[in-house]
Amino acid sequence: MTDLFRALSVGTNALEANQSALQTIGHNIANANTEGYHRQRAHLSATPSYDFFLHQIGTGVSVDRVRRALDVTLERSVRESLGQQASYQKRMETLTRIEDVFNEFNTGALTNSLQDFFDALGDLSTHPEDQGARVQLVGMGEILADRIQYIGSRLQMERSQLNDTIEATVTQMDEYTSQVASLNKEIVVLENGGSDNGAANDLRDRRDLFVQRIGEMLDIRVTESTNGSINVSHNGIFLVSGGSYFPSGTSLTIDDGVAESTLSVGGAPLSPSSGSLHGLLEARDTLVPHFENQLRDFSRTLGFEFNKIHSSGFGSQLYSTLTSTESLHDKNLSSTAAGGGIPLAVRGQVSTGGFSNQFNDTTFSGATNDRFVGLEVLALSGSNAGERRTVTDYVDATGQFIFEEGFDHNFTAGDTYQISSLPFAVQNGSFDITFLQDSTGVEKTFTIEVDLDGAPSGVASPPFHDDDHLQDIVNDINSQLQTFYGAGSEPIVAEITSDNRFRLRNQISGYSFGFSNDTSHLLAAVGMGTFFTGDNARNFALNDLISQNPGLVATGNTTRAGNNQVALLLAGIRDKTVFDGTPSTLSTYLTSLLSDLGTQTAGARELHENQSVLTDNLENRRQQISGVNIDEEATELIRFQRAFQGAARFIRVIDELLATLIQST
Amino acid sequence: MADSFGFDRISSISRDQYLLGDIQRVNKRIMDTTSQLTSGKRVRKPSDDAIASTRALGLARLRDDSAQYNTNIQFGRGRLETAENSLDQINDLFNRTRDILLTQLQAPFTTQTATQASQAIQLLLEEAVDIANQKYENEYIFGGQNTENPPFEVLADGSVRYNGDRQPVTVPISDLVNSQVTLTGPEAFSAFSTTVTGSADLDPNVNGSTKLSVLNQGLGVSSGKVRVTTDVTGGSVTTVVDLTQTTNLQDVIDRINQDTGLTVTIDGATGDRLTVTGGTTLNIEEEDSTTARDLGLLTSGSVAAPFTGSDLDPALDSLTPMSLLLNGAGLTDPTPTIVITNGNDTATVNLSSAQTLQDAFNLIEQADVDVFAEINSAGSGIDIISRRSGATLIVAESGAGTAASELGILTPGTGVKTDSVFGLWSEIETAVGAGNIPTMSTLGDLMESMQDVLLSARAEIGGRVIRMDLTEMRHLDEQTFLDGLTSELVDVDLAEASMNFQRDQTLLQAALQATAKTLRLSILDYI
Repeated sequence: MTDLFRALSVGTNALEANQSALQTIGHNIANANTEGYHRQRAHLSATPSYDFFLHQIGTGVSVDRVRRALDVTLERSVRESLGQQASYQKRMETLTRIEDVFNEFNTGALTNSLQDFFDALGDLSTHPEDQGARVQLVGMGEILADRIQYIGSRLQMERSQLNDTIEATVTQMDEYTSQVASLNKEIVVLENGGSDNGAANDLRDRRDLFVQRIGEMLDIRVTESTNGSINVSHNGIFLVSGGSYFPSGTSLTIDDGVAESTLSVGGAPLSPSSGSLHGLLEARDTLVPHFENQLRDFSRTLGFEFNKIHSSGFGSQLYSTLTSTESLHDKNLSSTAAGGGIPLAVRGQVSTGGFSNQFNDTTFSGATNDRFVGLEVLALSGSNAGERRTVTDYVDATGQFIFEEGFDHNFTAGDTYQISSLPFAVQNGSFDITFLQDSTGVEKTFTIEVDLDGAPSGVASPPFHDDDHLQDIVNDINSQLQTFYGAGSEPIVAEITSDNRFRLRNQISGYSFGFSNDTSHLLAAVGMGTFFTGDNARNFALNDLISQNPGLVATGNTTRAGNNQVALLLAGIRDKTVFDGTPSTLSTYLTSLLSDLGTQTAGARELHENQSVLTDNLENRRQQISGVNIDEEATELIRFQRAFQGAARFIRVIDELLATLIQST
Repeated sequence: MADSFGFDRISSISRDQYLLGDIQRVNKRIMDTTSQLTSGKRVRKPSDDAIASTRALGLARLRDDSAQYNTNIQFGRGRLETAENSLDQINDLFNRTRDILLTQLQAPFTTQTATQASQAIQLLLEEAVDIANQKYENEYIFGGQNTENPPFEVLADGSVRYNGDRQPVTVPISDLVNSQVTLTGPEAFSAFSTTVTGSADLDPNVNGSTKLSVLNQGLGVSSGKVRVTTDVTGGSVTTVVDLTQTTNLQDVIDRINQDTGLTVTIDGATGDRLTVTGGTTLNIEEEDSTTARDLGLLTSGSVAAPFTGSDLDPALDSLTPMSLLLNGAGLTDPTPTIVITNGNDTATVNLSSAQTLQDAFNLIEQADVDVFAEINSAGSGIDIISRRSGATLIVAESGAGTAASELGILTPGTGVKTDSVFGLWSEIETAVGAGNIPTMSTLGDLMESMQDVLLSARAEIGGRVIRMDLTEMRHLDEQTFLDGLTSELVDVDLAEASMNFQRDQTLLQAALQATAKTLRLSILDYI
């Protein structure tokens, strides 16, 4: 009798076990489309048999465990591959957007605007006296300047948007790490502190999904403790440790007009080498600035080289009063300026480099500590060439210059620089001013020295000797004019305006003036007789005077209407060697920038595609192991259904056996 | 795997995604091809084909340049052909003048016929001047760079004044090739014929403000560094002095003094070279250019200090101070005054107030006798030129003054006179009117040489036009070639793209069909 009851319990066990298996199949089918779901299997095993004389009689089946089908190594490979893919994707997306901004090969592209501008210049050089050709050139110049400005601002905006995305990404990451931490706690409880390790299938699925998402943001290392909780770390910095998570912190620094976040966790800086954060940071800190810098160098060089020639030429109309577009710092005005005067521009050479936000040069020691504070250092050579930063501190004893914001690269001993409030490099030289008396056509020319040689002419007074401040230039002009025309009868008076601009103000009507032979480049740097204004792409524009009065566009090296010598020189600027190294001309610089952009974009796309294929392969393999196949589940369903039906029939048989026994005894 | 989970199973998700992925790939290809077909371009942004796009940008630049050169050529040819036409007409008028002259010489004439003939010639001359004031696209073509005002003007006394200059307009017609597209009055009609060529070498001295660019007869000083070795007590010291940022002599002096501790000055004895003092011996060498030689400071090996360099030989320029002329002596005449007679007009010009040559030139021009002064091409002296064609120009001293001879512009009492087209014409008019037979026959002989001036100007234009035609053809060929190359690089191959499109369309249909069928299949339908 006892054996029959035992047999009955075999049947019951079988019903229960198969039912569990069926339920698991149902769970699989239900989650066939759930992200991160790993199919589960109920593992059945025979229950311990009992001795019956010489034999062992089976006692049925029970569910041993229900476990996810997964390959831990593969899971990790998928995560890493997804991280790499996310990084490449951000890179590709950024470059594609930059490419869209440049919009090359389409109407209004930069190369077209540049070509149109130089074509207009070519036309003007054949008709220097033609007002229509001047208007046309000014129009084309405005389009070109707008284009450069647009690209410059869009690139800056791109950088700012990337930073927003970075901020949003780390916020999301914090959300994920907190989820992982709370899931850790639940799993430890559910799995009884590790004694049922792996039992919390669905919680583990969710946790794995969050870990994967974190892995798509940055490179992480995941370790599982014996109690079932996991630790997530990046470069040895813990993001999740058991039930705790460590939120990220950000600090802002200004870089070229954009507030950029520096990421850290628990004070330790994050430096991802893969994941979307890596891609975003690379895009913000390297990719976009790379093209911004190239565009800045291009526009600065175009503007300055153009202005250098333009400010030494005569248009169909000359100036009667002219004010510089740049305003100078008080210190550049005179040697007796408050806080100590500094000549218009001082050149120096870095003696100790190694940092991006400071360098040393003891050449100018021997005065007050704040001697250069407020002026700007313009790097003339080395990897920072063309960049400018404001001096916030100067330590006289060590000759240390400290800047408000770091340069893009570290300084190297030997790099040359200029300290000034002028945005461009000026040098020792001179320029000529020619006055034209309108009634007689008589021209009178004066040469104005711009002494910036750092050498004394007579008594030495180091470190600047008798180098010129703006006031010295003003005095020189006024004194030469007075000697020739007589005091009070000078056609113009040179002066410094209340906002520190250089002005030549008309005093006697009937005269106009123009400039020539400026070997010092002071006029171009200070913005007198210039065509373009601005010192980077974002403020690149046409000089208002030129826009309002195209007659001022310089075409000749004399006042003769048909003289096109300056127009020809201007037209030749594109192919002049103006950069150190290759590419050396404006024309090749732009082509090379676009080619660089094209190559990088195509390369990024290819990298991303390759990585996608790799991820797809890995994902397929993961699906082979962990994915749900409905047909398979249906087959299993039938199998366990049959087993269930068998068990039920078995119970009926045992029941009948019991009935037989009861009735027959 | 120890489990029953084999490797060859396919999950439902991956099957679906795999099928979908295939369809999407075909869709993307179709989109690309469609876009290529509708735009006609294979390369629409640099990353489509970085190499091809870079080359295409380079080619586009060449293409545009070539087109711009042809625009310049068309403009230039227009001017030249207009000038050619004008010269032909003037030549005809000149021939008719000769006919009248010959008729007057051969037949007996009365005062009345002489006057009529003279008036006829005057009309011809006025018409010729009118033609010489021809414009092309609103620009006067014979006035040099003075393109805004009529270059020729008939004055009350019948002489013809030229208001232009001798600078032709040039435009680029090819890489590094500029072509002259106008003939100036002096070139076409020898309008500046009467010139007092300065006979004196004004040999200026230098001062601190003397620009380096005028030194060495205007060749300047090459920008570079010099190496100075000086022997002082305790051994020799070598310094490399960077002179790249110097524009005048004072800059050079200050720089060398500052860097070496030597004393450089302008040599007091000659006033036209530099002297270096300090140390016992001196060796000045080139570092990277010919700067030391150009500054006259190159020593051949070590020499004893002080060392005096060689003559800096400055050329005259408009800003040269009068006081530096003639070896620094300036004009010795205390009130330098010259008397200029041009044709019938005389002016006395007092040069006392002139500080620079430009001031002196302005004073001469302002004397209002249609005369101007300029520095000669060698940069050594000055010339006085009459704007009146064929006028007699006399430059004389004022009283006992010496300024004219010091400046080398003193003429013989009879002055100087050179023939020119309009000058001769106006003389013929006068001679015919006066019935002066000997003068008429002399002038008749001179007409030959003046006609040569017109004909050679015409020939020069013809030569330039032919050259422009050839260059234009070359540019057109080049443009066709560049268009072909660019098209190969960036344009879509229509046949290929259409075929791809057709193929992908078929593929997509097949993929859609297969996918739809596969997705519908399930074991669930059979159990």
